[in-house]
Amino acid sequence: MKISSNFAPPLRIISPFFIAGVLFYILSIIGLFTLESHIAWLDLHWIGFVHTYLIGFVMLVIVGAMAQLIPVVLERGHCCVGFYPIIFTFISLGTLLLLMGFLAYPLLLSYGGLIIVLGFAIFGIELILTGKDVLWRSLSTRAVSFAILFLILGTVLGWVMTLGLSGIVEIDPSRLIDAHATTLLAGGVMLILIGLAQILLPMFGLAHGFDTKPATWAFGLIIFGVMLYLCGKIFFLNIFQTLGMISILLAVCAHIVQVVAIARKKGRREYDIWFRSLVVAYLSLVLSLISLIFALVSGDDRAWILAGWLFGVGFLGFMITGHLYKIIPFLVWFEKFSPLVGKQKVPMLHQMVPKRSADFQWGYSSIGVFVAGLSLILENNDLWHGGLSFLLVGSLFLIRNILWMLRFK
Amino acid sequence: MKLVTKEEVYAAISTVIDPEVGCNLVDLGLIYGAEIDENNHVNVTMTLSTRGCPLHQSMIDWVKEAVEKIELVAGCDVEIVWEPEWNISMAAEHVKQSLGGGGTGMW
Repeated sequence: MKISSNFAPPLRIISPFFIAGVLFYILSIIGLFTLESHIAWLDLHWIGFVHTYLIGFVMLVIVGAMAQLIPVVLERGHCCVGFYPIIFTFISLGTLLLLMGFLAYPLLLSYGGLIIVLGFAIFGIELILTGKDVLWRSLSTRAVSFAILFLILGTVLGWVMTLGLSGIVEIDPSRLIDAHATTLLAGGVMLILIGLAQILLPMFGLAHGFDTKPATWAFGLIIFGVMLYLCGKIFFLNIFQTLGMISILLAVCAHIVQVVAIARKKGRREYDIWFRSLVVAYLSLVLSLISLIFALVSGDDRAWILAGWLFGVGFLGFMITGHLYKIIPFLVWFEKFSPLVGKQKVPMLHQMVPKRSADFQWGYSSIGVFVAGLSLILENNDLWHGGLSFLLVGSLFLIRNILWMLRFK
Repeated sequence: MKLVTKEEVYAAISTVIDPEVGCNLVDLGLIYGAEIDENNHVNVTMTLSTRGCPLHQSMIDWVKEAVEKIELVAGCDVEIVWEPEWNISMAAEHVKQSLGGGGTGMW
């Protein structure tokens, strides 16, 4: 196995994903200020900011991180690293068009949706061309491959919905919304995280000798669950949808068991910003699961919204920001300092993280997630705006920290 | 001809630092062995803390460069092996302490 330095994509290709991703994060939080804590599911402004967050922040950062991780996982260089600026442009532009479409100009929705489908398709094609004969080799690569298929399927479903919202085809978008969300969030985002967690958590935590069966279960259950759910939707079989959702919930539980198994075997027991971010992320995931189960049993809309909030902003948000504090210093170090090893003193990666400012980001964002989450249950606008204020300050620290790390000399 | 010693080789490799962990490769327990033949050619057998280490090739290059800086060394080859799998118990005691107290565990 040889990972040549040529395999690592240049920082200038990856850094825009992270910078733009956090700017979309800030934009979506500012947008949420215009809404009230009593959120209507089908409010187009709400949907617009949710898409800005999930595509503009979550997916853009994940795709950027994958540009660096794919060569590591597949043990070979990118086939077409030049595709990444195109992917970046398509996903960013598509997100902006979607936001404008949801806020004011519905006709833009179909264009935004189509551009995002193309962006994910190019990402999938690049992955297949890069690792065509090794994609099946490990659980992580299998998970990422399936996840990209679900991402493309989910965005196509979303695009069909935008055609309905734009008035181009006659279709009721609300009939597809749960299939669209399940395919993307469970089949796409969660499956990617199940795969990447198997590499990133042991690597950064120095964990070895842990049981990997829970991850295998999580992988199988989530794919089975999403497909069963979609079959139930296509053939109008509610029982399939229920069983599919149960399977997805069990997959998330298996993933949590896997993370605990890795954590119990980790040799690194420092409470750095990465570790503390993961604690908030998985605490949010557990609370989200509890809220989701309550929502399924009671049918309470507030529990659905809270589950979504904790999953999106708590779990995904902290998983991503925590890993940015590991990935960005590495990329900067590799480009600027690795050629100097043995010739002059070079910094360690932990010295390239603005610790105090990262603590502020973590603290403000954590308070924001849970205060705003509480406001969704209480339907209290003051609490909602208070929570969002904490999140906004946290996000401003985040962009400051990212720029600080990228400019480190 | 004077032969290079293992101690000299290990001392040279201990100048190579893992930038993520902040410790040298010898103290981390990543160096499994060093063989020196009669021509002072050195074969280093080592592992990495994780299979997906993005610094895989860089580590090999740094170890090779460090060893080849020793006077009399004719050349150096570095082989990465995955058996036995590295774990934190192979690291020196001060490394375990610097990483949070030694041993494994969630907290």
